[in-house]
Amino acid sequence: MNVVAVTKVFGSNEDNKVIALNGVSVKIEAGEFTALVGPSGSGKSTLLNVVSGLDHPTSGEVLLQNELISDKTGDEMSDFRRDNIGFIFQAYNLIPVLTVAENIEYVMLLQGKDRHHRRELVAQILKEVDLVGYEDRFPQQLSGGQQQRVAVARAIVSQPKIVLADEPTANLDSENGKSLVELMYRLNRNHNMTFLFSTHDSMIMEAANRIITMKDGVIIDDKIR
Amino acid sequence: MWMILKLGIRNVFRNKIRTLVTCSIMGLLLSSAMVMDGFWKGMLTNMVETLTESYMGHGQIHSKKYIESLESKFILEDPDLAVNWLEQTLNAKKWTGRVHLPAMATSSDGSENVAVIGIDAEREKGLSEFDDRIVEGEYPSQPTDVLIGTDLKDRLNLNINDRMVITTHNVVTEETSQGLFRVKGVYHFGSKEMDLRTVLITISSAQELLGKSHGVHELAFQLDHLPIQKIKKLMPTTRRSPMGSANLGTACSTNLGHHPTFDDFNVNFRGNTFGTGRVDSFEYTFMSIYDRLFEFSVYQALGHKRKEIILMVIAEGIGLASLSVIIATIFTLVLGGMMAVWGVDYGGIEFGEMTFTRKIYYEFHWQQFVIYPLSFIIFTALVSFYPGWHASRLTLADTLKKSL
Repeated sequence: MNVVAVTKVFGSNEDNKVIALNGVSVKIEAGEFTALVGPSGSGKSTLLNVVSGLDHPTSGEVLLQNELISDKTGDEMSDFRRDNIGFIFQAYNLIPVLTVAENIEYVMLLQGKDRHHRRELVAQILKEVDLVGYEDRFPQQLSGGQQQRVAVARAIVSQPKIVLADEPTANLDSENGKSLVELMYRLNRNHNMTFLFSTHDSMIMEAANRIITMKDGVIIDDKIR
Repeated sequence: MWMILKLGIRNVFRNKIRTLVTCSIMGLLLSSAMVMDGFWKGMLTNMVETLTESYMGHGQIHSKKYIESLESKFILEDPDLAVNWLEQTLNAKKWTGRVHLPAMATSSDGSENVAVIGIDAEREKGLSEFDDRIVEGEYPSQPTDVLIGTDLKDRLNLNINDRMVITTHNVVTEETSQGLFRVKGVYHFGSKEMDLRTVLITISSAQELLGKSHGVHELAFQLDHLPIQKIKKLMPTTRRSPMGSANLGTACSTNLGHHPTFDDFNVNFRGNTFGTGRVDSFEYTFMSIYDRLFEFSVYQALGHKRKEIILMVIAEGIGLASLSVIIATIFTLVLGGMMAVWGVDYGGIEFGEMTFTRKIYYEFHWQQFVIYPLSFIIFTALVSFYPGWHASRLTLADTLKKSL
């Protein structure tokens, strides 16, 4: 993923204008486990929104595997996200009326994968996230840690090019948080899957092989371990 | 598509109490429209029955010229010809001849314009309900007997055996003719027009006042085993008799010419309930969407297109409407069934210049359970479009922030 001189400005006049991103440029290589850190209001979430196409940059370009995504329309971006980006949200955001298995296979269903293939992948991923036996439960019947593991399974099951996670451990206790970080790290290692987190969590920072620090909408530090 | 439908239907049951309350309200509103339809059909049947059985009969034969001009001089000179035609062609067993006279009824306390009807006492009993409606005295049988309504009795301050003068027009001499009568009985139909303006005397007295020794203005008849639905269909038809026009239910049809008012009422009522039902669904859908704005953004984040979000909300609306239809159907079957068995007493109530004299019974019809629910579901789907459009236009980054 290549972010080139991206600026995001909120508000239209001088009085309420906020520059959330100020000419940010960064390149994320395939297989990286990258943490975006910085104080609140530094622009981490805005950068995640822009690179995922949930928001458009005011200026600059976002490319994923040399495809320009910052100019895509709403429906084009939906298709692109479906096939290339996995999301893990702080509040899990599982679909409450679907079971664990249905939540996990949801994206594959949108991709048009056949039922047999979907079921096979769901069974496989449930083993990886240690949720075998929970297929038919609804999200509200699971603990926060289990829900977040379902969210991880949903994000990675369709083999996206990049997984974006916005404060994924913020709602979890330390034990569940640790277990989740280990899970994502394992997936990163085993499948060479690219992860980009915005986080305040020291456990994620410790596990990350790259830490990008932001402040006031600019990158002030970029360390690769 | 199947997943969208599944989500829509499951979302309907997500907040069970809210769904139950909304669907109950929508269902009751739909049911009120369905019940209104059955009640309206029952009311129409009641009106036709009231008109045909209380006085009009299923049809009448008049001289063509009388129908055109309403002048008393145009009578059926030889009613036997028409009677033969009635008995042989229409197989009518119940019929009666009537003489109509526009007249003035006078007592010592005042006078009133009235419509005098000369009747054949025995035959009239078999056709109309005047004999059943007598509240004082008896049915007229002697040439000087007169049967009046309760309102005329009060207006002219008359009692049984009091004298009353009827003044009318002799069509032969072209002069005024008068007769002195005694009040033999008083009837009450509950219709002001009837109870004040209709006076019954014997047919021979009426013919004498008219200046004719024979002949009638009207031959009213009832047909045996004629179902009410067939009578309704026959209403506008006319057949030729040797003497003039035999109008099957013409007068009935004329009286029910007040239908436009009735229809407006019915249509407005249904329109209002349907409209209110839609507003309810509209509010529900918006409320439900507002509760989970971020969720629709999650759907889009996962790869749903805008049109799919709209379809999802419409599917939810359809699920809601379907549930309302089930509630409405149950309610209509129960309420309609009760009204069909026990009837609703509208006795004495006037509507469209008619007074109901008997109970109104609910009439079930397939339209109530097919057309109404289908239209309801289609309207709900249309109304759900806007909330769906709203949900599909959310700014993902903004709504997802609300979930954090």
